[in-house]
Amino acid sequence: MSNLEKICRAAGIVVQIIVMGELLLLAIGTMYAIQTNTQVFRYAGF
Amino acid sequence: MATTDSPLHETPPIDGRRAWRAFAEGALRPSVAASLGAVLLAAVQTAALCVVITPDRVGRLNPARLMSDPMDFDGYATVEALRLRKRTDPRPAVVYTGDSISMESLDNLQNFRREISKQVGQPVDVYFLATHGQTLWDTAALLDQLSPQFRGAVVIGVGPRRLMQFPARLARDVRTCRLALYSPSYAEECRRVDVQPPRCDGLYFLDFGPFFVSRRRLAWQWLSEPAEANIHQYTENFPAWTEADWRQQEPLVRETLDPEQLDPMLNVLGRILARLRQHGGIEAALVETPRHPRLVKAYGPIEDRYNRAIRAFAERERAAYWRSDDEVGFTANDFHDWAHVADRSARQRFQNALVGRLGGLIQPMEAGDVEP
Repeated sequence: MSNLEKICRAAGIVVQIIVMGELLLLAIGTMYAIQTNTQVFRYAGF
Repeated sequence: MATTDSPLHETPPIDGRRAWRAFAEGALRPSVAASLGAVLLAAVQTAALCVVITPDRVGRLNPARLMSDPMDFDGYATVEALRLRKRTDPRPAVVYTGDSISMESLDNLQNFRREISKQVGQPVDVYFLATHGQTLWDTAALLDQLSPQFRGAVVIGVGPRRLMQFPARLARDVRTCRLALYSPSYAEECRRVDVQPPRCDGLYFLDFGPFFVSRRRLAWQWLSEPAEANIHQYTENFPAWTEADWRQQEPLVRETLDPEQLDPMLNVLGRILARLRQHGGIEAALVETPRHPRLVKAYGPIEDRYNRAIRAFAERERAAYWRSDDEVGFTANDFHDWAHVADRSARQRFQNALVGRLGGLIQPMEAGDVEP
């Protein structure tokens, strides 16, 4: 494997880490919101 | 054409396809390194949120930045209250609290600020802390944020709906974390009705996790224009009550009132006033929220009991108490539904009368009163 391929592979792993990390954070946030049934207060007149 | 034995071509030529294949393999193929990296990144980001999101930083935001939609005044009031914590200006200011009825009764916030300043004779800041469905417990939490230097008037909107509130409502609000404010008074009120107080571990983002998580969409809207705070959002976006609504909804409104809670809630209000007195330099004004004449008639004994109790309370506490209905003279046509005022002229009359009342309560700062 040439140096360029190694660099490209590492760049790919970094992209995967960023995407997976954000998705993981989003999933944790959504699970937390579902579990605690949290939502912004919605007023409907009384 | 170059030959392979040329010294210029000792390293193999760059193969774009092989490079792309290596990139795609790194990006798409699951690996222990990528999984650990993702977990680490999520952990670092959570830690960063805990460090970056603090009451001081939130208090410096444009309040509309924390509104998930134009009706989200919980986000707006949280920022305004946190801003109030840092107030050092010795000039008098006004804090306006209450529920959506108090909110919709005002005509225009900018005009309100301008008219009060004119009435007092010097610039008066107005902190708008009214929120939809605000309870007196919320009001206690908001008013706990007044800085020691704060001087001026505090308007507390009162009415049967706020003073006949079921304690179950407090438990629900604590769970969903409507306001992101540390408040010893709120915690004390929770304990009085056997509700678990909100967390207070010192990490603001985690203590008020539900508040921030429920507004997580705001993270993606950070670069766009914030929602515009509109105090008339409810009456402008929900249909006015028809005769059928009155028949269907009015009993439901009544079901949300518990007359047995009147005395305990007056005690909550009494503790709020006591804290304001203890703070010093603050005039509290209890402002009765408008109600549709038809509802007043329908409430009957509940309304009478409430009126007797609140008048006696105001007298006992020597608090400024103002019945807007008497002075403004609301008619049925001024209302959108059971209590929200929608008529522009009625709102202006309410606002002008309130400005007149507040003008009498606020003492302008004389030169040399307090060192700047």
